Amino acid sequence: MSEERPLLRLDGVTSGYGPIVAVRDASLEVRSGEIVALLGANGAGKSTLLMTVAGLVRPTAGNIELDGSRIDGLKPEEIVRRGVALTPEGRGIFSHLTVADNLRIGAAVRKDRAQIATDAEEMCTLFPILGERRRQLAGTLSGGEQQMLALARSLMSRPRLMLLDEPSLGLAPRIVAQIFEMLRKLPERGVTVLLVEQNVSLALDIAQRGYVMASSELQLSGTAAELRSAVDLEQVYLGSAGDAPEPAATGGR
Amino acid sequence: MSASEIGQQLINVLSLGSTYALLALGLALVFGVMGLVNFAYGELVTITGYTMYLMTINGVPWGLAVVCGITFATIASLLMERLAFRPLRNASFLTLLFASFALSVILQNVFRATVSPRTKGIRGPGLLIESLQIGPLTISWMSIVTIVVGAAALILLTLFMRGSLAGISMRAAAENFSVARLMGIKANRVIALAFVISGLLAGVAGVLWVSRSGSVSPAMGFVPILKAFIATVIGGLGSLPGAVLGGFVLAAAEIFFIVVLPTSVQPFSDPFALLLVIAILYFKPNGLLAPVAERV
Amino acid sequence: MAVFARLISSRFMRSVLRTAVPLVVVLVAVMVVGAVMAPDGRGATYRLLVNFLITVVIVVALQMFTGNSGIVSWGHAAFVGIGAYSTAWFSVPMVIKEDIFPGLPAWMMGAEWGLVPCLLVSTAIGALAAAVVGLAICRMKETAMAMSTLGLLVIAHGIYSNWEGWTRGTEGVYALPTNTTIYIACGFACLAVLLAVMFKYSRVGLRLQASREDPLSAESTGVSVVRARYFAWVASAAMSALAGSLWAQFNLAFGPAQFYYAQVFAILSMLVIGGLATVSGALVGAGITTVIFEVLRGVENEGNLFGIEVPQISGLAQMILALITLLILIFRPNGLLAWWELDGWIVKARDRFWKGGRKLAPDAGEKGGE
Ligand SMILES: Nc1ncnc2c1ncn2[C@@H]1O[C@H](COP(=O)(O)OP(=O)(O)OP(=O)(O)O)[C@@H](O)[C@H]1O
Ligand SMILES: [Mg+2]
Repeated sequence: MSEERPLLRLDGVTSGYGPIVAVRDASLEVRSGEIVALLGANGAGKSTLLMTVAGLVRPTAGNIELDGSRIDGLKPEEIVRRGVALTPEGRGIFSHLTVADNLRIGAAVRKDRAQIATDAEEMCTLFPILGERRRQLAGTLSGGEQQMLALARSLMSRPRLMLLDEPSLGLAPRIVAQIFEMLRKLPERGVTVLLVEQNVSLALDIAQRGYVMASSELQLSGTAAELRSAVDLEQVYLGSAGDAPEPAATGGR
Repeated sequence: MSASEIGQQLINVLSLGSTYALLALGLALVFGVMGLVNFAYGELVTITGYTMYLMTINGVPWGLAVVCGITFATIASLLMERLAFRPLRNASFLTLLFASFALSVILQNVFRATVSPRTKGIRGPGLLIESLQIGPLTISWMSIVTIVVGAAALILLTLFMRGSLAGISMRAAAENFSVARLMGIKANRVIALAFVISGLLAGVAGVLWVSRSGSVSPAMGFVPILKAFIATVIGGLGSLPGAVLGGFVLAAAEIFFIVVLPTSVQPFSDPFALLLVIAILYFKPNGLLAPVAERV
Repeated sequence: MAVFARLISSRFMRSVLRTAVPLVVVLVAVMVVGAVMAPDGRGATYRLLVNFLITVVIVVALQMFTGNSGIVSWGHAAFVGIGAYSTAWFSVPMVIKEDIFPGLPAWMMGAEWGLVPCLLVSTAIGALAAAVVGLAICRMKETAMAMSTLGLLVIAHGIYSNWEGWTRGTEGVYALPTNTTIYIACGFACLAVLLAVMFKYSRVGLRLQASREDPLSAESTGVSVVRARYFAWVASAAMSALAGSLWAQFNLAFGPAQFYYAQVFAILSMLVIGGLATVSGALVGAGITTVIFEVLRGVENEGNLFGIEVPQISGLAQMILALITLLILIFRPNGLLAWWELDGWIVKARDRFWKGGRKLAPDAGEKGGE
């Protein structure tokens, strides 16, 4: 493995909501051009970790570096300007806006008007259904179409790093396969991916490396192949499914 | 009731309704982006009124007074955001409501102390009190101007909200503020913009309001905020088309009771209209055009 | 007797008494001061203290609803008005009534009732009005409900100002008998505090508080929450009407302006300053506000109606109160007392005194605050 500087580096990051610690002492790296999976049971803190990187949740300790410069403590609107796009859990599309307007909002950080229009065209070829539904309100799209829109909207900001939170949530296998096929090709477009997924085998199919999170902590990491054969992966899932993060007052160190 | 009478009343509904719609829109915009029902919004109308009053009695031409009235309301709206509401970002609905109520009372007393506690008359251009005869209909210029200004403002606002990136951003922020920030929309800027447009709308509505009533007083903001609040709630708080619809429904209810009630119970026409509105809310507790998605 | 002993020793009663006793002590102290300073029941201080005790009933009544449900009500001043007007209908001497209330039916014309029947009938009328209105209002979302209570205030004001035969319109009502003494006012203030504390710790009250703090219930309001709200609404409106009746039988003359915007603002400010969540907050807020008004009253001229002074809130006092309210909301959004009743603060102060400060555990009825 090369020793170049990672695109994203978390070092001892702790964050949560008021007294609740949802991510504890997390350290991870994502190198440019990689797809990295972040796996873990419900409530493990995966979404919180992504939101912390994106700036929606403030870390209480640790560093977050993007391409060598600190981004922790910045506002979400500044972090996206540095090339980090979070596609939130549950998609978070703007259902009262048209598909076209959703795409336009995705490019809100960019100034190159002409290029934005061509990019929107490209999204419509990447996801033909979005082209057909262009003038329709996004709220009227099906779940799968909404997920495609959410991905396309994130791509519109031309991110260096995409944080994807459960893109397969609630979708039929055929649609999931289609979306993952698209995700696999993201590094070719110069987009690095940190992917949170419940569907372990799918995620490890497209990822080169992965981390496993349980009870607010990163407990395991390795290449996709290593993780796939790790016997205790199952245990991490089953064993910690009921764990909830403890309040800082009693559980803090 | 004859056809021409019905036509006459329809024009009244249109003219009153467009004033209410403008007021309601300004309230709904700010509610959309920060969950605040700005009770001090009525005082923006008062600021417009006092600006126009102070300028016209000092011989400033009406047109300039109108422009300044709208400008001052806009600036005041922006100042409110900066001084009173920015420290209260993310506060609960109740806290925000109380805070704006307190701000409203502060401003009313500032007007009382600095201008006058008494009602003052204000004279508009003479044309506004004249009427136009179209067939069987007698239409006052006031109504015509109100309807035209209201329609123009509605069209401009619609174009802005649908066509410009800023407008789309504002609608996006109203639907889901956090995700809007993830798209790079700046929280401070979008909220400030909402207050600016809200101030502009209050200013325009204020000019119409003062021209119609012909007077200004420290507590005059109560009625506009009341109407705007009612209109946005019947329309579905948070929905912009709802705010417009609510404005017209409220105007129709008020005019309806003025027309049908006998003279002896005429003073109760407003209470009746309010009862009707509460009855509407009983059947549609979320308003007529409730937004489907919720804020995050 | 055994049942009574069991009740007293129950956890619920212990909480109630722990909270209510210090408040009752404060109220009784106010009464004693008034009774000692003005044994003849005259003078400005006496008036101030009695009006304060009545104000406590009004604010505690509003706390019972808004404090537990988290929903603002602008409408409670309307119920105070209902209490005051109903009292006038049944207590003003017949000769005057024929003049000022020509619309009253014959059987009401003849009524010249005393304190207790007037209180009862006013409370009943207030409760009835709230029961009818509540059917529509209580199942709305908090925003719609806030608007509807404001609508209610405006409707009531419209009725008081225009229903000439029953209210004498904007000219106002006079010649009520003086029945409210400082003992009576204090008795009802204590009762109001006790009832509000009991409600706060009751199952219905706790459910209402839970609905306030649970974000999910904001969208879909369950049947049990609507019932709890309805109960709180009717009870607090009835208590407001009772306070209106006490107030009318002390101030003797009033008009529709006494139950409107300025009064609503004063009551809400008291609640915000002291803290919505606690009954003690209502009392502390009422006290602070009364003092502010009293101090500033010297600066300005007094309100005057038919030669009898009425609590008229003047510009400067109102402005300063509004400023204080705004600052409290910004810097101490849960009010001065926040989540702890007076007893909690007493324990806190005692612990700090003896042990140099120990962390205070929240009340039994609270969810731990922030
Ligand atoms: N806004 C919030 N306020 C308080 N606690 C929260 C909030 N959001 C999440 N949590 C808590 O933080 C913990 C981690 O949540 P998070 O959403 O990060 O888990 P997750 O790994 O993404 O789970 P899932 O797979 O179900 O999406 C959970 O216990 C959750 O209850
Ligand atoms: Mg998650």
